[in-house]
Amino acid sequence: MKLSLNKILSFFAVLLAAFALIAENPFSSKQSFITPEQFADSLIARKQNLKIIDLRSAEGFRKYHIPTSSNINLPGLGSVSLSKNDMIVFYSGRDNDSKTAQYEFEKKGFKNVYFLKGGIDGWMNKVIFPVLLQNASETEKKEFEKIERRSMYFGGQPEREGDNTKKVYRREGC
Amino acid sequence: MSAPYFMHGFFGEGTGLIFALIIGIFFGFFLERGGLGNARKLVGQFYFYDMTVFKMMFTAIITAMLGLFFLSYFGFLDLSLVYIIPTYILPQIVGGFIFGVGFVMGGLCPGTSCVALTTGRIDSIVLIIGMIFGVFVFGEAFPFFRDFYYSTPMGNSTLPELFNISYGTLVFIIVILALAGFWFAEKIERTHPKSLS
Repeated sequence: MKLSLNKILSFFAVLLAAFALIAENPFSSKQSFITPEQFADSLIARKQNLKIIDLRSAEGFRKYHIPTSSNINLPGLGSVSLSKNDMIVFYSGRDNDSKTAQYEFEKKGFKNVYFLKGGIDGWMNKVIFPVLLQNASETEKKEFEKIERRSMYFGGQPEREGDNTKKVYRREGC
Repeated sequence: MSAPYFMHGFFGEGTGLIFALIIGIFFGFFLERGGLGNARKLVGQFYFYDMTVFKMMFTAIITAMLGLFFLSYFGFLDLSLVYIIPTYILPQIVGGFIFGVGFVMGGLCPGTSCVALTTGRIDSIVLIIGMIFGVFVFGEAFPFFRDFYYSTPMGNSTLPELFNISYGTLVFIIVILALAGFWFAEKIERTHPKSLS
């Protein structure tokens, strides 16, 4: 019996699909990023051995940086001494640099290494200047109280859309 | 070194665009070779006398799916970094419906209209003008339906997460569904004479 090309290709597709079924997941479930919210919470909890590395320019770092972070650029990373027990978080202006650094360090055998999702902008938008939309649901409003407290901890200014009573927040925490 | 190379910073936006151009040319070439630059063939899909679109789309889907799955499995690609368009279920259903109506009326979709243009089909020129006009109207009118556009958000959801199954199980199910679909599509084609083409 001579099989048509279509049948041969179909057979290979089924074979590969069967392998996929056995393999289950194509990647490890370990996340390579940390969200700004999770990151802020670990800072507030004063997590031990947390090392934060700002990969941006020295000027950007001088203008603003996440508390307790150190400014090291991507080429300079090779000479930094970090322990494999540290939890390392990289952030940059765009995610490219931080992803590269995270990838390189994970390859070197660091287990607890992440990049900050959304970079410094993500941090600003989600943690420092969070906004509650006017048409937010009740659960979102409730959730926002926690977000507000977090923002104030870092000296930020949360905003409720349509609420013009500007509050002045006192900077507290680190 | 693993893909996506752009995400890992192995090349910048300029190189990315060059790759996009090369891939795009191949994409267009194979669409044309598959006969998808022909509006009659595409519309045949909607009347069920020509199932080429269905067969080609699902062949592409399972080929890419199996490829991505195994590239990721063997560590050549980090699937978790591949960009997934966020789901806004209701506006996307409405958008899909409008797209479908436009597709069957014009006989071409945005990609295939560009393919048809390269072979000088006049209907594609009319369609592309309409498409650009539509893009312009959409952009200008966007503030009026902005709220709807961002309604019913579901985040970057994927089918394995939604159904709580492994990626492998999903791959298997889709391959089986596609093969069953191919068999069924050919059965339909045999019963419907190709009246228009």
